[in-house]
Amino acid sequence: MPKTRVVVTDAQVEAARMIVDHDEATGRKTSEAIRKIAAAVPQVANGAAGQGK
Amino acid sequence: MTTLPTWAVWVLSFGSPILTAAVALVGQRIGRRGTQELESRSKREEVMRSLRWAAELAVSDDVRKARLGNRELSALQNSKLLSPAEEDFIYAALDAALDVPVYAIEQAGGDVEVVATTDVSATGEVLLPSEDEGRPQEANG
Repeated sequence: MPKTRVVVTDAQVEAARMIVDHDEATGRKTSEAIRKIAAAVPQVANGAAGQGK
Repeated sequence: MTTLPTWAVWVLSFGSPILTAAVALVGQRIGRRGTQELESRSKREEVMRSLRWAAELAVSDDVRKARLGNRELSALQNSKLLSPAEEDFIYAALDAALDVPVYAIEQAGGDVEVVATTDVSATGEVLLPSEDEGRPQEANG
């Protein structure tokens, strides 16, 4: 079975990281899915230079 | 001719202006407190408006708006203008922004590769089965 690829935006990665940071600060458990999104490294798309991080 | 005792003269001479000044001071304090409450309420309404605006941006399909929303939410969180209970609205908005990919990841089980892109045309809703699994992976999974 082919591996499922989920494409997320850098904004969603940023949101996931904020949630992870908050959960760590408050001692809550973050869902595995959000952790996976937070761990993704945004790849700069062609023509996206200068669009932010 | 009517004469007043000396103490009454003193009371009338100094007591009356002192009483007037005290009343004015109390009135001014009450007025100032009212102004402060009004200002505080107005600031609070403005913060809540900003929170609503930032939350709407954060869940936008437009990546640039979503980035702005995240940063506004982060700024609001750092501003200490929100109570801890209100800070939950920030995380509710961030959670909502991740609904689609989180659902997709949960549906896929453990066998999933998360690819993040800065492409402004990406909506965060793209799901592509990988056709060439043997190829080295570019992003985290």
